[in-house]
Amino acid sequence: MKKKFNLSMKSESKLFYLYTSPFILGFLIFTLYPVIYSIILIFTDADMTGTGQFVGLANIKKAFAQDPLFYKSLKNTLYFVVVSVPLSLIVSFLVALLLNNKKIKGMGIFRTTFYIPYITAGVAVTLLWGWIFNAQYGLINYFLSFFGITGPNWLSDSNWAMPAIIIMGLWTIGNTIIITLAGLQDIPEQLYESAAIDGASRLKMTTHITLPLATPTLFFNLVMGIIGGFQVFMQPFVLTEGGPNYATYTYMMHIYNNAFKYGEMGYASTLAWILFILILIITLIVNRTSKYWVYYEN
Amino acid sequence: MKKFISLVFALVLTLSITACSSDSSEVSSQGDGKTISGELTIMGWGGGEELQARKQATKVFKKLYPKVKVHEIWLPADSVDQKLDAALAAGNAADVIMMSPDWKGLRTKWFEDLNPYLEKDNINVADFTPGADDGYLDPDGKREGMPTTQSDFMFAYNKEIFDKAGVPYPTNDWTWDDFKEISEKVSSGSGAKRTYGIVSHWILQSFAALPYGGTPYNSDWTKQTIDDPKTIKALELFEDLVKSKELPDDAASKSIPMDQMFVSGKAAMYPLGLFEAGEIANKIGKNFEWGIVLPPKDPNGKNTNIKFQTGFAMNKDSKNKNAAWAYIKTISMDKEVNDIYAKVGIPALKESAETTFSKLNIPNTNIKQTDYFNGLNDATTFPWGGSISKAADLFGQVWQEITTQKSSAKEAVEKYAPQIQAALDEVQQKQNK
Repeated sequence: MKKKFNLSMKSESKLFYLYTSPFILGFLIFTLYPVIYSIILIFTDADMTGTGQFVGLANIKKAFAQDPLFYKSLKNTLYFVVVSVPLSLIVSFLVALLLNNKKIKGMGIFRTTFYIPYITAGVAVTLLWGWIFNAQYGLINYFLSFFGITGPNWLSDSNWAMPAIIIMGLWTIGNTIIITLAGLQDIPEQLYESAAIDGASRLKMTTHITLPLATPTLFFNLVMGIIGGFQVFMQPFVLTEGGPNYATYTYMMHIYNNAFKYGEMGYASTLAWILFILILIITLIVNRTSKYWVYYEN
Repeated sequence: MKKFISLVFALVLTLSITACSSDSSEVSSQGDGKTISGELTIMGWGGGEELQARKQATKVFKKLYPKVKVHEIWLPADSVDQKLDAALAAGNAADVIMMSPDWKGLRTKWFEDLNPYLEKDNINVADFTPGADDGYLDPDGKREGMPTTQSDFMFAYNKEIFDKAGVPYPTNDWTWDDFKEISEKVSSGSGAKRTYGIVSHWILQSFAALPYGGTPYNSDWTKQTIDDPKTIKALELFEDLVKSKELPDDAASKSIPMDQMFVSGKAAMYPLGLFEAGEIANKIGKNFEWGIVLPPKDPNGKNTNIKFQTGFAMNKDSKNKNAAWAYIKTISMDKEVNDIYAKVGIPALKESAETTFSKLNIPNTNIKQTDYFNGLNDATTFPWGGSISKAADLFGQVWQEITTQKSSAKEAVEKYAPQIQAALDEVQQKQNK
């Protein structure tokens, strides 16, 4: 009986390795190996072919002491993160509140409508936004003209290009809205009923019940937003190519240019690892602060 | 005995002569079609008619070298760099690789020096179209590749706008000062109804250093020269054009695609690349009468123009170098191949350029292409590609500061010249390793 059990265990163990091997192999070859190799590249002057000579800490020194675009791109990315992440959290929370109204019929249509931009092709949507921001013929400036306002040269003005990209980013917050909405729907109905009996206004209920109980979802969205924000690439790459005058040149664009345009794989790997460490530190800090503002029911 | 020795000598002599002739024919064009065999892989890029021309050219090669089995890999132009570098790194790149001199030595370490092959086959570079062979020789004398086609620019002008402004059509001897004066006269209107002197074509950035005899850097790209007074004066010309709205600024140029601006009569002139001439002509249709003229000359009477070149190089690790060389030579020197290429560019072989190419009209028009051929005189190889792309991006910032009117040409040069020099220094350090 024991022997039979052992045999069954062995065959189960074999099956386990057999079934998980595609993932394990894929992970080892396509994730772990490149990650380790990119660490090695930091200490080389490798080109596009991935081969190069040992240069010690030269790439790290270059990033911090010799490359003005390192700081410029980092500053632009921080600007994007600091403005875009809270803004998208606030907007998505407000939209989720509206979408949580069970009394309105056809809410599914509204929810789908807000989610659709998130799943539409990014490049096509970005190009479309290029026309919306067009200084002469764009919809936004046309709308502003009704109020006697001459709209700015959104994408050609150093001061307005990044705000334009941040505004465009709000178009694709569908996923954040859905996650927030799921969080809101998880709040027990009895709490609102009790508050209503106590005579609480809707605003009071929102600030004293909804907001505190939505903080775990907001925390999740915040962390994901920060991680995604630091990696902003496609919108400025397609819309402004980092311009005008490097106003929208983000850190990911700097990595991309160094890797695939200038063929400096060693330096690009260094930049990528600096970004990873930066995101890790900020995420840890945010995580540490969570105990002061995130409310977990249990 | 004497007779026997004479016979042996005669036999040895005959054998050695036969051996010699067989050896030399292996890379010469006569008879080697029967001796060269094996497999050969070609890698290049292109689309549309250009790609058809490349495939037809390969068919000609196959006809001449029936024993060579050719594998063709044609990629879209925007995916070449990554795929080629990956293949080179993996050691499985094609035997023959399409390239351009504007790569400026970027992949030279992977390419065979073709000088010995040219010498062996007595290739006369004077048979090439003037300028076709520019840039294929590295500063150290290594020959990276052989030319296939060239393409340059003409300035197209809208005759109706010129007539309305009472301005005579430009002629091939005009200068950049004439150009500035004409631009001012043919510009009119304001806001959305503005008619500009010239479209803000992306190639103008490459022209930007040339109008007064300047250059962006020296001949072996070791020193930037954008802070040279001649180059600054040229950049100031474009600064003036933007300020006076003869050239759309950054915002205005983004308001409407550049070709639409010319086609819809919102700009009087358009720097018309040979590669886009047929398409633009098709879009203009019968909207208005138009003509072409050589780009303006510099004060020394030197033609200013930008040319794009394509050619083929040999992978130094090729297993079939004889066939690879035969392909490269055929594509560069064969009349039939060059006549095919004449339909999509200025062919490398002078004979084809002077006859077949020059006789053709710009598609959809009765405008002869001859001036594109004439425009090659003194034309500058596209200055901002390959290994100096970092310097190119920085020069792009100079251009952007001017076209967004963020700073003057002088200020932009002061700001970016040291950075461009640092980028060029980096290139030198890499290439000297």
